[in-house]
Amino acid sequence: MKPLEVNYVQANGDCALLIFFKLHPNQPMRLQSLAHYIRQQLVDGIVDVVPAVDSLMLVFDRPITVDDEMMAAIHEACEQSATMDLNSQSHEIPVCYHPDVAPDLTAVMRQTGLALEEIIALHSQPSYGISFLGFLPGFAYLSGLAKSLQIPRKSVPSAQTPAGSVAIANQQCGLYALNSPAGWHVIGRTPVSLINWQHPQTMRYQALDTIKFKPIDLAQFEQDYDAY
Amino acid sequence: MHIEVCKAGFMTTVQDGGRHGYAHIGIPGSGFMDRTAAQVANRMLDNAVNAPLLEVDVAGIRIIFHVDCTVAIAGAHAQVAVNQQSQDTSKCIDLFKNDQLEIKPLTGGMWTYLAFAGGLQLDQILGSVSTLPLAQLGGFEGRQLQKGDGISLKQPTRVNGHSKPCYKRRPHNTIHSLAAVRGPEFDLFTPSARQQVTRQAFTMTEHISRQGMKITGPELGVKNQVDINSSGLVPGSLQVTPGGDFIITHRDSQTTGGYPRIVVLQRHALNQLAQIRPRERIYFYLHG
Repeated sequence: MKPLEVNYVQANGDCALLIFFKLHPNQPMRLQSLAHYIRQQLVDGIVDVVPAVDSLMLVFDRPITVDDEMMAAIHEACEQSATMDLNSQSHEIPVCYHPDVAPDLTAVMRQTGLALEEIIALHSQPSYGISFLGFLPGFAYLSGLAKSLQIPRKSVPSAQTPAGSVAIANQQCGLYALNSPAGWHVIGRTPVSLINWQHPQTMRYQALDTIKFKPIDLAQFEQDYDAY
Repeated sequence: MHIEVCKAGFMTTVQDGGRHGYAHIGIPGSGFMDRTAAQVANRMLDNAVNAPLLEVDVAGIRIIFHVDCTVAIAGAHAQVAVNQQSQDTSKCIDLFKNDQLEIKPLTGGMWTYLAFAGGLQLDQILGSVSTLPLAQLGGFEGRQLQKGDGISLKQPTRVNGHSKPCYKRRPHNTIHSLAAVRGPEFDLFTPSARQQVTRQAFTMTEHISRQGMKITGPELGVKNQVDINSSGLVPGSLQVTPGGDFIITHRDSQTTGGYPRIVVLQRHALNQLAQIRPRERIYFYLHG
């Protein structure tokens, strides 16, 4: 497999750097493999390794400078991780697409010109890949959203969106594992808890896993919601 | 239960050196807002520098002791009393069973740190006891302290301790200059914005939390309103929203974000930023 190619490197404060990569056909897998490889190397001074859409952030415990030695180490890690493939799992997550639990559904119908049934079919048909986790604890960025559902972020974010919300913006779909402000359009909600808070490191899902949404009705949502 | 909270503000929590290494699952580093001040308090008692303590907000706190223990207080200035007798916070303070310790509302700065000899007894989650209120994680029941909360100390003891180093006794400034570097999206801003960011004053607003602060300042235009891809976000990032607002992230900030960042603070400047009060002025200066 072709290794990732560094596009450019940017300082992110005095103790972190952002490495941006050129487009790669298997970007999420390559970025996660690279992150995994760097974590395994236990590089002295690195405290966080954060992959995102087309970048990887390295956070250090001290101020750093980007020199030839560091660039060489980054290229080496790209090469070494190019043949690594990480395991992934598939999950089915029940989602209720009903305006009572999905406040932006009506606005999305208006913006896309699609009927509710069409939105449900389009959204629950694909198998999504988790590109990366981030933003807030347990928030998952999913890729694979149908073209006709791709609309820009909300111009005014909503102040509070409940845990379990399923939302869309641009090419992505997102899962909110906890109550938070949201700039994406909420079109559904799952009754199941997405993080085990007693053991937050054992997430329900991780990056590269695939997710399929199973539509449920409001009665089913309420029945299962009581369970957690 | 060794100590009991009689009165607390809305933002007082248990914190330690932080929960690092989990940004890739969306969990922020958390930890002391003003790390320097918190470490002074721990050092005065010969605690580990990053031992858990109480991060007390502007409202101050009142606590009853059910054991004997020495404490140290460092950070934003406040009057401190034990059983209504005024205390000298440049030294450690001995508390005895049934004593009532009061930190009055802070008179400058935003946070003061109350450390206990031997530290606090709390369960770690992902290697830290820091409270992350937005996820109801860690600390004391995952939330801010309130009246009636009873907390256990690890090994309450009386120690001689050390005096506070004198450099912490300087008065609270109302004009601050914060060291920063160019943000990852610096070049996306207009040439005028790139100049204004270090020439003009910004002002702290009332919107202050452990996640970040809203500040006001000059209009800083982005060249083209582009939707940039989300990438790793660190505390101290000055983000400009599409509406032109400035949000500067702090210890509990989200771990990835998609707003352009014009400057990012040097990490040590986070301690200074933490203590800035609403309406105080801020200048950014660029390093490197």
